[in-house]
Amino acid sequence: MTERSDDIRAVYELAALTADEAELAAMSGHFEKMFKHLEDLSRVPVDGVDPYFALPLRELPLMPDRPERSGAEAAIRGTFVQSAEEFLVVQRVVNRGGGACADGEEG
Amino acid sequence: METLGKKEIYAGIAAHNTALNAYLQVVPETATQGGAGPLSGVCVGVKDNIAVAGLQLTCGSKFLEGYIAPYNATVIDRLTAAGATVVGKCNMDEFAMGSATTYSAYGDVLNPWDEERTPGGSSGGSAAAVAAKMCDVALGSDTGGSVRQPASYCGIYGYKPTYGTLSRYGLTAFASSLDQIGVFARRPDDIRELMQVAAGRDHHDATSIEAPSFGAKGFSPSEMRIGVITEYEKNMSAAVRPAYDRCIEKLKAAGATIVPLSFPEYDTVISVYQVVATAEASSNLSRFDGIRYTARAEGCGFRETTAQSRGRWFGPEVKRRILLGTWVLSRAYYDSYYLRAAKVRTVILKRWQEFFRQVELVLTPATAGIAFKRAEQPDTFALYLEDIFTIPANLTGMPAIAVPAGTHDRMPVGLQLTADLSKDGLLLDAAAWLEKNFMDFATIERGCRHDTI
Amino acid sequence: MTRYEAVIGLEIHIQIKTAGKAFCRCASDYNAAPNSNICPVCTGAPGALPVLNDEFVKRAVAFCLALGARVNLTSTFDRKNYFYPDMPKNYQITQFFTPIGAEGRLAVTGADGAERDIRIERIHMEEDTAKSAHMGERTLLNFNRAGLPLIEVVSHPDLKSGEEAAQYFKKIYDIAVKYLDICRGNMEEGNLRCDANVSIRPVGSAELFTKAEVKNVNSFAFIAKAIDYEIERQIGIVSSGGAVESETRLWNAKLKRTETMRKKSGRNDYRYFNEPDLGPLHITTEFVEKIGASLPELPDAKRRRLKERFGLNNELLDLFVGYPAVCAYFERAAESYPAGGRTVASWIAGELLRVEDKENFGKVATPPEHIAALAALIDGKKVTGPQAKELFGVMRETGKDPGEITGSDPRFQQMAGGETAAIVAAVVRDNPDAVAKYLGGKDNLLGFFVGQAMKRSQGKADPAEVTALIKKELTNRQK
Repeated sequence: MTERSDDIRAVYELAALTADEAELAAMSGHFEKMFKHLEDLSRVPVDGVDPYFALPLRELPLMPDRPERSGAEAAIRGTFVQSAEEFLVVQRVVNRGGGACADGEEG
Repeated sequence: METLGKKEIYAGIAAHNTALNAYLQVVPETATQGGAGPLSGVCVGVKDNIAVAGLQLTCGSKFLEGYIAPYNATVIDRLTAAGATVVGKCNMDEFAMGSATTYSAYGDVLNPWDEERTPGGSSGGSAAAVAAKMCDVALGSDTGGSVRQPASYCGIYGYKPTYGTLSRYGLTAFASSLDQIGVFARRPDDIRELMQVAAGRDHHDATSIEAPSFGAKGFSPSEMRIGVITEYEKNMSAAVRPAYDRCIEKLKAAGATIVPLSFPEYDTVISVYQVVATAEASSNLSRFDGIRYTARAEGCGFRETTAQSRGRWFGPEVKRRILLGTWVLSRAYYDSYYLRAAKVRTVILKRWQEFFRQVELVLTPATAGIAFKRAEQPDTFALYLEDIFTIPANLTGMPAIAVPAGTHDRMPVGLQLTADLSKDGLLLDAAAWLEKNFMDFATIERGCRHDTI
Repeated sequence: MTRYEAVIGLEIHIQIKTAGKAFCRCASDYNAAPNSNICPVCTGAPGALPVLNDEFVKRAVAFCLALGARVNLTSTFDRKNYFYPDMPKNYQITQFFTPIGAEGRLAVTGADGAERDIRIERIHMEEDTAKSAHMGERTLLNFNRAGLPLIEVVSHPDLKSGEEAAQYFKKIYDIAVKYLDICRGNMEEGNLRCDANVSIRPVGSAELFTKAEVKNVNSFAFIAKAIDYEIERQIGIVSSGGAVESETRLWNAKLKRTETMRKKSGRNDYRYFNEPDLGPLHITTEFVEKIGASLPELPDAKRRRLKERFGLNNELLDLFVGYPAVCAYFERAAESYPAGGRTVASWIAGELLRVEDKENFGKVATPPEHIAALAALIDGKKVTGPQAKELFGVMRETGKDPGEITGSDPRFQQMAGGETAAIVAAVVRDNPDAVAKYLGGKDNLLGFFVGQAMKRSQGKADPAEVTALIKKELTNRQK
């Protein structure tokens, strides 16, 4: 089904993944099979059924507005691959407005 | 808890870990912290997706190579406060996605009873460590069966609590509404003791609940109605059938009433799981981008760096699941896939709630068969179908345990018990009764005894 | 020639000043050292989970009520998925499917002077991102801001001009910062952020056309300018046969124009779905009512009440509605002298605010009762205008009330009856040359006479009275 081969590139982009042509072809085949299998979802009648988004009747617990040190600040900074004066440093990865390296996402 | 003692455990690790590859990181014996308390002297193996401060947290992935957990999971805090010792981080399928621990970026784990076979997955390392006596108990994680299936393949007990009973704070999320930390042990009472310390509400986890009672109460089969699922019985393999029939006979002889139950949606659980689990996973794994971890490919912008890093350092199974999850959440597909699957999930929950109006426990196979040979691993798709018995308990949140039930071809065979929400105590009582009256780990050991163990 | 009208909607993000963050116990302190108020949750570490701050909920509900919105007793938290360096999890926890508030309204005054309700579509809770600073080839990330609570207010595209948009934004600002005190109100720190969606259409059309987003106009001074510029720009494009592109633009304050930031490539697919780590939020009617009962009087109600009670003009109403702390002071003063509301108000606006900062109206040296007493003296003509100003100075120096001061200080003694007339007569009598010149046409000599009379009275005469008497005297001389 060719309708999925365009879709798959769009999905790769949404998922922030790259692939070469060979992988794309293999994935396409895999997903054809998956979506065929997923058709059995339409077998089960769901009229008037609410979606399961959380176990019913559970109250959402809240936390009080009293700050607490996590104690993990230094350890978290220790996981920064590159840092400078406690900032996490990344290569200039944000490029606004036009050009080959334009970042199309939010700001 | 009867413990093997640190010396014997470290001797076991030295003897077996190189071959089995169950542990990715072992805490040097001299560096182990142990304390006083109800779990004093207990040595715990911890799946490498559960945070132990100061130890690695690779989740079986190259993406997190070199990452040191900056904090303790709540469960780890509670266990160590009770005197337990963490001896190492256990190997696993990458990001908990897999059923054979053959998708780890750090090499396969082997089944201690037959090194040509898998231990199951994704918590294969934890299961192998317990079966090979390289720890007293181990923690794994169970999203679609990742504790119960390897327990079944390794001849030990593998328990998934009621959703919310063990805090998920510190468990690297795979599918948030399905994940639970699970416990492996050679005896159900070991699990009970661990749960008494670790279970219960955690203010760090808004989905956690009050612990049910884990005090041992006797189990009287004559007062029990035990459900069996007719659709499963029609499809049972020759490996599992004898153990299943013997177990039912044992329970009947002790006075239990066996009640046949019909589960018409039994095969749709896989589709529901595929959609819901991959959708949540695709979002949970987005935090692994190209800037915060060692996996940093070259790229000329943020998007390209991220896509290259993820493309290069995620394994193919992880990519497959992220892609499917992203797909089913996309605007054009959300209603027919994600929303629909969530509704079918409600239907399945209602079905199982109906079961527990008729019975106290449901007895089913845990796996289709015994551990398969690594060389004969079913293809990607067929592997997904293996989870058909374990998935319902994750979809419903109900507690379930895999118990050793016999051997076949000198490999362990397991069965599964499921109970209603928060009836974890009853589940462990039933497992303890079966241990005494039907099958225990020692018998499995004798039945599977292999030259290397 | 087609005439066009503007269609404008505003999305405003308000940073809520809770002590902790939205979903973790880290302090929300802005000025802390970089990456010091962080934890596994707000840095998106593997295994971390969000827990909702109860104060955040209370303030969100208060804000919904203040905008006349319906509070949804059940609201959901949802994930908005997209990748960006300042996003610790690469998804944002927000409220998409069922926000905490819906269907609110806020009145603005249109160009025609008529009041009109701007409909508010939704009010919801979400979390803020980390802060990124760009330095040459590197970007520095500071997660102190990540996870701070935000309330987003989205209006329907009911606004028609930059001026209206500025009014609406100012009102939201006042309510959040000055009335409910849920936001610090520092625009430079980004405590409030405003994005405008601007489109145009032929007058009379009910369709909506392609809109451009003008982002981050975070200054009252510029919001009207930026929107008006954008409207003109779009009219320019359409009237010359072009089409407005769907894009995001930034306001360039130096060049006074909007510029393309990036094109919108189709609609972003954020793959919204329910946040599984947080179930739905259930709040009770009692909870909402309790918060409603503790709300202060809001701007529009205050305006109506002050107008009715004291008959104040628009300028004074704007002052008191815009500065509730000043208003509270005024009302306490007016309590001591209810009939003199206008005088008290004018004095506060004119004189008190010369020496007190209305933006930081905290401890004021002069008690409001003293201002009321001063106003009573003015209205009762017991002191002249200039005397009152001097008296106020003495009040501030000594802290004494005006009655006490006028009782003892000769500068503030009243002129005896007829005294002023006598002084005026003497001044006219003693300056025949000036009188002759004045009568000959030099009208500007009036000031000279007034000055002379004021000097002789040692400043105690009422200049208005003096001027009137001198004019009368001189006119009499003419005859």
